[in-house]
Amino acid sequence: MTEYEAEFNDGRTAARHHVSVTFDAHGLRLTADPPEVEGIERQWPYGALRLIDPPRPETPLRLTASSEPDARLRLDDPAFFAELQHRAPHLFLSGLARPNVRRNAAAILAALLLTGLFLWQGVPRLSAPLARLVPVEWEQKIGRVVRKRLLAGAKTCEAELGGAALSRLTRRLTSKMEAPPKFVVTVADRGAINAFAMPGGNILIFRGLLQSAESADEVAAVLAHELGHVHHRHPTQMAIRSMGVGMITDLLTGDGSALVELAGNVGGVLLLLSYSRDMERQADEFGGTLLRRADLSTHAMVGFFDRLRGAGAKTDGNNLAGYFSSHPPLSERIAAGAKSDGNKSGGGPALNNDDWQALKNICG
Amino acid sequence: MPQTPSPAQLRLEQRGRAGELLPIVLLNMLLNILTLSIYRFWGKTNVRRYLWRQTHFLDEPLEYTGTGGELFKGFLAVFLLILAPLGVVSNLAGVYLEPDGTELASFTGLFYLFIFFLIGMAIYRARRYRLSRTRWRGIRGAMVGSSAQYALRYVFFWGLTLASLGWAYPWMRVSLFTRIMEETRFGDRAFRVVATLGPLYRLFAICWFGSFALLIAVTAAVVNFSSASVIIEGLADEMTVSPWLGLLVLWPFFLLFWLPWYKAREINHLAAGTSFMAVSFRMDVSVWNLLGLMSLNLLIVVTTLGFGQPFAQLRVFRFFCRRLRMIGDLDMDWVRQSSAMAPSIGEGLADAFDLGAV
Ligand SMILES: [Zn+2]
Repeated sequence: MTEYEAEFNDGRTAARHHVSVTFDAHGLRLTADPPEVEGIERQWPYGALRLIDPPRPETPLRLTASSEPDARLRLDDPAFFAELQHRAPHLFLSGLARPNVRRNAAAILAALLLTGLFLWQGVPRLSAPLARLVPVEWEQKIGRVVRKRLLAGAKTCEAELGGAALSRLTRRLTSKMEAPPKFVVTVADRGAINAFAMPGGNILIFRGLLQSAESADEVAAVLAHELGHVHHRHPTQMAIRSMGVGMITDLLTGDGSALVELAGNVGGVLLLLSYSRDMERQADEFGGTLLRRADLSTHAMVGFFDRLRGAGAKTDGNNLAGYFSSHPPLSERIAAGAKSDGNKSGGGPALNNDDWQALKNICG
Repeated sequence: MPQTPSPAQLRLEQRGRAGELLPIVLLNMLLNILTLSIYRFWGKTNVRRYLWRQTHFLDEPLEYTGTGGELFKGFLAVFLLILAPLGVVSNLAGVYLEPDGTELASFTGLFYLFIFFLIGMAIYRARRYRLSRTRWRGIRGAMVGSSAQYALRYVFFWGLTLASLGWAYPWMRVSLFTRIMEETRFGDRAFRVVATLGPLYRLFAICWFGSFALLIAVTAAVVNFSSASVIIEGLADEMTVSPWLGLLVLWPFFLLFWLPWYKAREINHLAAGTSFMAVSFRMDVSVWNLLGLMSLNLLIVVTTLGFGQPFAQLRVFRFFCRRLRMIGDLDMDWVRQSSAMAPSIGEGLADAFDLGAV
């Protein structure tokens, strides 16, 4: 039986002991060298052995035992290495063959799947009940943050005649509502064709949308639709979703890097995520009811969407980037709008021509 | 026992090579991307294992016994128990307290004070975790003090440093270093620190007054130069609106300019004041060494978008091992295993505040 020379630390002191190591049927046998030294005798079963580091050429092999994890055995002999490989092959597994690597991989995979599931199902489902819990002043605070972000330094338009026309339009829309939601409509001096409802009842219309609309009816339709979002508190739901997503991405990456901060930003994500199909349907239904009660055309919405889509196809999608990115043109929606359109502006146009021109020029 | 006539010199030796570190770093990079960076805890652990086992003392390698799972759990615990509640509290305060009122101002003040406290705590706790996972000949290190007490000291001294326009800084450094080293154990043995303030204050005074000299020189240069150029003249005009305020805002940067000179002296001074059993330490760092190390490391980290951090760490290890000498006879046989409690999860706070230097 071959004896291998080794160095041994018993884990109780930093003193080094010389030992000789032999293999037997069950494990490694350590004996003191010289044999008079007491307390060194060990029997380490093969199953209890652990390698400190993966074996590398020209580097001593270092071992411990699960029964005394503080102890260290160190051997330089390549012959010992070969025999250990033969007797205890489980020590030399690599990669996914090692049980702890498999366990960690499974844990990481499970964490990723759970996170994905939570983002995909949990956050959207929780957002509606949570939105109802949000206090109004909090909503308005978030709204101010989002509004600032959407304005992006652009000024708001407050020309006197245009402002009066705008308030006539909104009054006409909401006059027949039993309990109109609290809201404020503002026009921003930006060229993009877009309109947003924000938490706290702020509605922002970009100048580009007013200019590309062919009639006040079309603007009224957009406004009615956005009021639907306000009524159902969709913007607050979206803010909650974005905060949820932000928190999860923070949790994942942890280091708060610039990219994550950007993505986690309330306003930023509010723009990245578009309303769900269900939300759009709810907003359409509400908007349709509002328009009918105000004796306004529900067809205008469909016409506006159709025309923008046509224009977008021709002008390499620049116009499409706006309103359609947050309001995807759903053929099902357009069909529904067309079908329900029994009254083609029974109560006349939404605004008279002077008011409509004033509204178009609200930004001067 | 054989008697050695002149005291022996011992050294730490770092045998790590960038070529061997590269495959570890590349694998970490790949798995970080695939797992949306959850793997980073395991990746960090792999790098530490390599750096530790390539560090030798008396021909015996150090050993890192921490695991990625411990770091991951530590991070989760801190996120859920500290960071998330803090975020909620600060959001609520932003909503419910008057934006321009004194209430919000005092809340913000207290909030940042608390963050500072947490940073002090994070420094101590990260060190406790790392030492408890560091072994040599099977014996582990430990921190035996209280992280909260250290954090209080940390907050107090930083406040004092700011209030004294920097003058408490050397005192703070000596005090915090002494505290942290004297609570450091290898096995059952403590480190001792006896560091005077005199030599540090002499250099600090030169740096402090030097910063004003530099400030005046640069201001004079700008003012002279501006007469030649219309654009800079415009800028200088704006500056003259409140020149004293402008000077005060710029001044800390000029103090930072001298910092490397002070730091090099501080490292050598603090090391020379430290001893372990019969061994005393010496560091031999010049300002140019230090600047070389820092600037190249910064370049490595920036050009690799942070993925090169382990190479920078290897360079720090090498720098430290090459310049540290231990003088005296060391009889390690009498060092017994540490009985200090070791934390079961790791470094969550330090990870949260991005303090994970190694
Ligand atoms: Zn919509």
